[in-house]
Amino acid sequence: MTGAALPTREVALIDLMDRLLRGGVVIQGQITLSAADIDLVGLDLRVIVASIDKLAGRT
Amino acid sequence: MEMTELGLYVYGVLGEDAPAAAPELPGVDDAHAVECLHDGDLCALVSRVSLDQFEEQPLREHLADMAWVEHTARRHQQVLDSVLHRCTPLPMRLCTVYADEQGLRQMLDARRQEISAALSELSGKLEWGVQAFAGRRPGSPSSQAARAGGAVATGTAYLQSKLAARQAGEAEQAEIEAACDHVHVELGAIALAGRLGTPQRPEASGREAPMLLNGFYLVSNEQRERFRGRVEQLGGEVADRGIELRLTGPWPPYNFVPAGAGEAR
Repeated sequence: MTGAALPTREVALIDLMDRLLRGGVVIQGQITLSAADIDLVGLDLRVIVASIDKLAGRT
Repeated sequence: MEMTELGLYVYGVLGEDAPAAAPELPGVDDAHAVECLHDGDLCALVSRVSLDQFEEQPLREHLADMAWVEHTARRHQQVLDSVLHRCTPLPMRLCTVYADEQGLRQMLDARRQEISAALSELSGKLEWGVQAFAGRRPGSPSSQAARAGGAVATGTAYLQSKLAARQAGEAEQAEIEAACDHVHVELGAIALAGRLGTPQRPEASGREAPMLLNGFYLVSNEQRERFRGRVEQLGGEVADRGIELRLTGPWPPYNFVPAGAGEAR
């Protein structure tokens, strides 16, 4: 790999949220909870999806 | 001015190939820049945050606020993206926060072996996403039959044309599904690992055309051009079925964190 940074690219929020909320390392933070403790798959993801649409002016 | 306690937001963990200096970026809290916290061979990418924002109730409220979520998510992504050209970070899930440095060091120490093994495993590899969207071809049998059905006046002929349209649609659907299976198999042959995610609904994807494939692939950096080339090739092959492929990435390996690197849940 070269040392050059990758060019910035457009990242769809839904693709990003899916990874950040469902994937990645899950380790209990010292604070009460990490996002993993909130049931973000399912209920909150629907809320987030609905909100994404609102933000994008689609609803 | 009231001093609020600061904690550490963790973006991800790097190994020996971590950059010498932290990326020059603001953290999820604009007021605090990203820092590298070195602990033995490990390097955690962190930034300071006000702890009172990450206690349960405030955090729940923040997570219901789309603007906050988007800001935090994109900052998280930018930090990890900034190192992708030189190493593969072990990405944390959103909102992993430690009360203090000691707590984070304790965690790194306790999980050192698993984290090092995970970093070793993922070194030189990145995640890519391939999605397939299905659109009806204008000249396809089912759309022709549907159009023909609209012009018919008599009851029986109308029902017959509807049946023909449905049957043509089912056959077409089977071909489309087979084409998407083919794409996943072909990409899986180049990737080190492949996983199928739940296809996004139109409200989520922002596209009218249904998503048929939402694939995640772990690809070695040496194979990435070959992988991208194959996606392009396959895109050409499935285009005559009205299928469009969309490549995203590279991503930190959110979907390929080895079991054991985190806590079992």
